[in-house]
Amino acid sequence: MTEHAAHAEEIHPEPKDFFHKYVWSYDHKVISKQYLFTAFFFLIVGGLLAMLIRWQLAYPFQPVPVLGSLLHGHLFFDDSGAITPEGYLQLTTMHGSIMIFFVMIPMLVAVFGNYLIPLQIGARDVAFPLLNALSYWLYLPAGILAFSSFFLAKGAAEAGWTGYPPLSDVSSSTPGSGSGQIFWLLSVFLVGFSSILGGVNFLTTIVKMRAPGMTWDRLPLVTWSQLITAVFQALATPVLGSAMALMFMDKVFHTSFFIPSGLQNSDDQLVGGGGLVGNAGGGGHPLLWQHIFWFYSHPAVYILILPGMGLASELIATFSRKPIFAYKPMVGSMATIMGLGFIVWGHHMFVSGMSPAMGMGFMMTTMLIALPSGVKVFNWLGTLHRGSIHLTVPMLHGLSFLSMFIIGGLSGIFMAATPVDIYIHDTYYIIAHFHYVVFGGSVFAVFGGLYYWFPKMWGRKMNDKLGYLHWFLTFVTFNCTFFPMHLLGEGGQMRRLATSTGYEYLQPMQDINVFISVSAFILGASQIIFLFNYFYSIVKGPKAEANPWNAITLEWTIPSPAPYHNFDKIPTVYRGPYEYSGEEAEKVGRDWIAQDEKLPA
Amino acid sequence: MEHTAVRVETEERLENVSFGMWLFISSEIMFFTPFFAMYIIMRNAHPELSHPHMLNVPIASVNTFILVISSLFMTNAVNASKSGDGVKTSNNLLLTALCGLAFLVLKAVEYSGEIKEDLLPSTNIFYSCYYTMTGFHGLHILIGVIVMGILAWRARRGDFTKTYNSPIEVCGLYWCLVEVVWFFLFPVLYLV
Repeated sequence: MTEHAAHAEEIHPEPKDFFHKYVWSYDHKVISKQYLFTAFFFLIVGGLLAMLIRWQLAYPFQPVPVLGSLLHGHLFFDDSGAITPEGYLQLTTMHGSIMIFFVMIPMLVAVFGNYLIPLQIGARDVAFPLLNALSYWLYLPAGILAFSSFFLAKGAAEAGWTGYPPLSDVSSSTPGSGSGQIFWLLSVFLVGFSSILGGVNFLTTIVKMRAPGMTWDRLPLVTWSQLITAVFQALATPVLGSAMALMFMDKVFHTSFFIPSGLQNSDDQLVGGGGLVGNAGGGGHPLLWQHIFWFYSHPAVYILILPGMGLASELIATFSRKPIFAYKPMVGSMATIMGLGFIVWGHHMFVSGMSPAMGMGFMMTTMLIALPSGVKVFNWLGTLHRGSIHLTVPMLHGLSFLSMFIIGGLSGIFMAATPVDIYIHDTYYIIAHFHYVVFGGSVFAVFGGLYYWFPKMWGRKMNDKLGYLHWFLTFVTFNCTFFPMHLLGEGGQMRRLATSTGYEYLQPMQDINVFISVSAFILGASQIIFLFNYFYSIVKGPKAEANPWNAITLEWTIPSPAPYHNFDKIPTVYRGPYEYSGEEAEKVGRDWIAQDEKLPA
Repeated sequence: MEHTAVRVETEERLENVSFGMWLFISSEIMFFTPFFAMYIIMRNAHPELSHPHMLNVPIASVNTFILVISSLFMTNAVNASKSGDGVKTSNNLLLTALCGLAFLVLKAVEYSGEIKEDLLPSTNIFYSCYYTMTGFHGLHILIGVIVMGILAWRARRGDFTKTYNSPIEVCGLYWCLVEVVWFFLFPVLYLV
């Protein structure tokens, strides 16, 4: 334990000039906000891409209103302002890549991790403030690279966010597999490197810098979830780096890691190393990419959900005014998910070609993940049970996380079963599943967290009425958008298909597609309410007190907004993070007692 | 930035720094592991493409020897920095960097010999593996050389004291990693 942590730590002095205060800042709180605003920007970009995808699926090859007439002949649009088939592939690829690498992972890990870890463990900053700044300044150029690839002559990457070779690898296969794919590789490599540095930083911070008395069983679950996520970041993300490096070698130095021998293009010419026509190279294996890619990208799915679980735990406990039900199993189940998360990647490849014995193994490990997930759901319900539930805006998001995660989790078990997966693989069923987990789960948790910690971050409060309205519209239209996709998937509509009406067997389902698109447009528009509320409240919201939610963890013991050095004196922790309505709280005449509060003698 | 003030590092800070570096080293190991895994798979799939000693073993052996020697200088540098001897630290860092440079020069000679024989990354999957694995390792050596150059300059300036020397320590850890990766690359690519 860190008994010595109370020593005055070496801490960067508070900067006075604009540049060091807001641009090249070492302060974890400022870096968190830098990530937040950049992620907001990419959320808008990724969201607009999604709107275009939905337009194409509801009204295939018809001119897009507004954007289409503004940008006809550029980007994804033909001269009439309609989306081209190649443009559509760019849209789906970049929507997925941007939302995962530049919105959700930074939101969950970099925004909340940066802001909350030092505050919740009672530290003045993360372990390596310079490295922290560097992480952000790697993330930003990576984002710029990804964004600028839209403006390349041949457009952005088109091979899906999974970048499967040979489509992605052979530069002549599709326009986007030229320089667009290289931009994609570089930006994902950079953002991965930033993620590794963040993971190393957070792990060190949580392991080494906890305040006196902050034992492992007193650590808030948000911080626990960040710790476990950081293990993924430090150990799984480098494998993504190797995947990117190998494909980069293929494309730039004409190696043939993912090019099989005897691959031919449409003119029956041999395609060799890196897609060089007429090269006899080859000898590589496209499946190799899938193994290496999914070895990272399956853990990435847990990077996307575990912090959400942590945030939701915090919300549900605070607004039920009850201790979290079964704290230790909560931690244990997250650790179990992490352990299993490393050995399930093959379930993405059931139809790619795999020995049945391996398929069986991956099916079993995948299904096992339902156990710790079930434990978590049970414990959240146990926390709610007979609690004094306050339906505040953050709590509604916490509850939405819980209910949507159950739906997304259950459809996950369907797909884990190899025979079922063979039928629904790469259909809209998959799209429905992961949007239920990542949007229904993580995005709701992120919204909940943004509402919940807003007073601490900005010293002001958000507007509740707009908050309720935003939640209601988002929750309803989210379900209207993504639930019918299960039906589309069972009906056989494949993902990444640029035309939903071009196949006779899909035509009877076109009404569902139109319905989904209309609710998606409302869903997209509802987010304007949130953004308006967020930015307006930063400037004009009513002042917030230090602890508006009567919460227990350490960040609520300091003023709002959090001062530069967080704590005047490093606090000493006496109790767990969720001691609501307990005996000790009764002694001070409240239903809560802060983690560092001394009981009256 | 705080350049002139004498920095004092607490014991905890030093612990944090080496803990973080060990984590980063685990990340690096995870970065190189897929390369080795891939190489094993490729060798098994295409045994006809390679045989022992088809690469330039003499140069690689000399390079291995250079790296072994360099770890001696690196250890000297770390020890000297702990006793606060800036000049000795700097000299030893420079010697280590020189070893790294020599490694890179020899590697370049080796590459150019192969390129002259028209053995390119695109030739076949064995050469794809060879160039990629040694290339990314070489990149790590290059980064190490640059970092050691900067640290040597800072050591000569007197930045490091008995109480503040963690950058030398983590640089040493990094250099160990780079060496160990080579100690795996050398046998699997050149000898087996």
